[in-house]
Amino acid sequence: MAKAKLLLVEDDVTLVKMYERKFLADGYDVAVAYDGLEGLEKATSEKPDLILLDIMLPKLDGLAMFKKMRSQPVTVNTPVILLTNFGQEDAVFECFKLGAIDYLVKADVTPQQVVDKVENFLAERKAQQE
Amino acid sequence: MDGQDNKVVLDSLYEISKIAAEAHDLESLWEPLIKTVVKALALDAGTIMTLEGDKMIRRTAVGMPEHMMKELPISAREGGVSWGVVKTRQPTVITDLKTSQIASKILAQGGFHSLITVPMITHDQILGVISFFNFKPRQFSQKDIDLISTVANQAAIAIASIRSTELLIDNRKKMAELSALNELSRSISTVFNFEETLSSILALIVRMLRGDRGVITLFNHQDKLLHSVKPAYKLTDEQITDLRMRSDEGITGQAFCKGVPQLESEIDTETGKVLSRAGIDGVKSLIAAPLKVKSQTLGVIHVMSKNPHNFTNDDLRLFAILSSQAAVVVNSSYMYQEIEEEHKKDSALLSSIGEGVLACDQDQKIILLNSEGENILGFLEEETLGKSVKDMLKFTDKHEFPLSEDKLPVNKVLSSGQPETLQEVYLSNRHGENFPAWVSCAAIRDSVDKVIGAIVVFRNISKDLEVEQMKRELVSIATHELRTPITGIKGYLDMILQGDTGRVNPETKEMIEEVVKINQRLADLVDDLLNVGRIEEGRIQIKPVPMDLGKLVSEVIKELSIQAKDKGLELKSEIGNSDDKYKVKADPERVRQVLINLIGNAIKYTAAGKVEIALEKKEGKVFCHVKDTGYGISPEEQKKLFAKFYRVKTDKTRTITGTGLGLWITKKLVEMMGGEIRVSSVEGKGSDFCFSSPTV
Repeated sequence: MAKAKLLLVEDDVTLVKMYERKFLADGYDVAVAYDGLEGLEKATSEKPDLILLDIMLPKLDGLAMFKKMRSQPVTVNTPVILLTNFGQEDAVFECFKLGAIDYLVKADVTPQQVVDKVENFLAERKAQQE
Repeated sequence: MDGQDNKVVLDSLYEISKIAAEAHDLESLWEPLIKTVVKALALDAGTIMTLEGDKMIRRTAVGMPEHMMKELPISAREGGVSWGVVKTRQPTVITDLKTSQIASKILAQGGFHSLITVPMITHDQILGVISFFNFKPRQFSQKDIDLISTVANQAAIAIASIRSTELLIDNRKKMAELSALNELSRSISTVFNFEETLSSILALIVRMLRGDRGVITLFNHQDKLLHSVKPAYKLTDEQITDLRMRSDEGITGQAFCKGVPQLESEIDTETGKVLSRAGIDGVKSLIAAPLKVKSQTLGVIHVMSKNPHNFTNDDLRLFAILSSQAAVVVNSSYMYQEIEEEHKKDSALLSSIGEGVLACDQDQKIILLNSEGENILGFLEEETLGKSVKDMLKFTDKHEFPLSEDKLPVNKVLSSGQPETLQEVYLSNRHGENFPAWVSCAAIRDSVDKVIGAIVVFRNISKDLEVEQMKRELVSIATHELRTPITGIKGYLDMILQGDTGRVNPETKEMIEEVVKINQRLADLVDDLLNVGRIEEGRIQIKPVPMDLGKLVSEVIKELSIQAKDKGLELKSEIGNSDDKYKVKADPERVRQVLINLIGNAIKYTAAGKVEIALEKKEGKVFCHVKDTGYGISPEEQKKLFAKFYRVKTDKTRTITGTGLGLWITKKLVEMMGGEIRVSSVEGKGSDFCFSSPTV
């Protein structure tokens, strides 16, 4: 039984492979989407517990995808942590207004720190639910 | 011709050529010319009409009723004696005006009985007519007709040369107008062909004086010699090249120095030497006259003969007359050449400019378009001349709306006199295609500073914009394509170090940690480059908010304490529990970047001792000092310290890595937030970097 189901929306294959490997090793179920449209589709069909969302994405960027998620009942409450590049403060700010939980700049954090962030959030939520 | 007639001819020709040589403008030419002939030939009245396009305009009337000068220009349709002469190019004589069908009735009413009208022709071009009248019936003899025709043709040459001179002088005044030169070279060649005119004058003179050869020598101000020039009459090119003399040498020298014509019935030794130097043989007699215009002597004109004693004293007089005619032509030609040269220089300059240049007069009529301008707009200069700037430079804004009248640069410049630069505008070419343009416009002023036109410099900046776009794309590539692999390397190395793949032996661990550091260097470099790009393109947005600088300093110190500890340095601040004491208006993220850069540098460049941060509030600002006990910076290095890519290189700092961008970025960020940064340092003792930030 997996700890939780994550959706990783990231267009770079190298990073997808790295984060997927890390999360799988740590006992998570991981779904992957390589662009915003696929991300939106999987957010709806896979019903993940948490989405790790990049901002700069093909087809539909992270912010636009997030907005669409917030406009449909199935995904309106799905928690989102932003996994961004440096220099995207404006988009990050917009996402916070839409209710993003936190953001991490990919270059500044190690995969372990991403896992820690996810773990902390899930633990907090579990505590709230109990 | 008998003696008496000959004298009359010479006298009047001499008078006329003097008038022509001395006339400053055409107005001062007409009347004396008519008066001289009227007097010489015992006539009662005379008039000159010039041909201007399809109209004949009366220039002067001597001895005629006043109202004749007030009549309107006569068009070809109206006919009359004068138009008849223009068409046939032949003199017309009417002995009894009362019976004439074509002569104007006014003439007969004015009491005139006879008339002679001759065309003024030079170089096959008819410039107008001269008419003379007698109250009494007069039979004009063939000699009269010949004489008056000669006078008329002499007048024609004078008119043509004065016109071209006037044109030259006029345009000289308007030299500021770049187009003047352009126009000039076009119009002058249609008005006057110097070389051919000079050549025909020379031929005429040689024939009239029964000579065999003729040549003009001109004074050269550089070598102070007289050099013969083309066109010459019956001399070879080699002889022309070799015929030159000192300005006091031989008969030429005498004519030049004394300013009066000289006659040599037999060639003297000195003149003989000059001629033999040039390989001119068989000259037995020679006549030379100075070419004088106003008070200046330009050179000397010669006629040579193979017969001794060929020239008489009468010839000498006639020669004086004819040479003054030649002088006028030579002078105009001189000025023309000078202006032509300036024109060539200017047009070479204009065509070598890599930008479009267009000039217009105060009525916005185009007077010049350079070749790059032709390329950009797709029009040839000739197609644009005289057209309105508004029809050729069609401006639109970025929404493709035509610019309103008050925004058109030429309008603005002509009314204000102030230069204008336009960006983010579009111009369209001949095919109606719009392109982004950079446009600069400035006034053209005359010698008294009055605005007489405008000059527009323009460039198609499609390529520049493409390059800008590429630059932005490159930055984006740097973000994605460089940063992502670096992030990947960092992530995997960390996973290995974390033991995700099993235990790592100490030696491997050490090496991987080294790779992590190298990778971090790459990451820092990419970050710095990105920051530089963002600052230079103005893409960094500063969002100043009220914030506590003291609190931020404490946070950054905490963050960097590990680095300091690793080097055994003391890192501390003298802020204490300030609680809002150091409130500033700044962008917290950027101030953080500044602090990390400055404190990070202090740690990097200090081998032992401490790094200390102090805050100070004064003059409406908070000053933040980052002091260290490090290597210090020499005064010369301090000057260059904030330059892009500059790094202090000494034996001690050689092993310290960095991009040379940190302080440049720091300075820019501080300035963008309304502060300043400076450094004081003593080599071997340490440095103090201080930046300010405005308080709330």
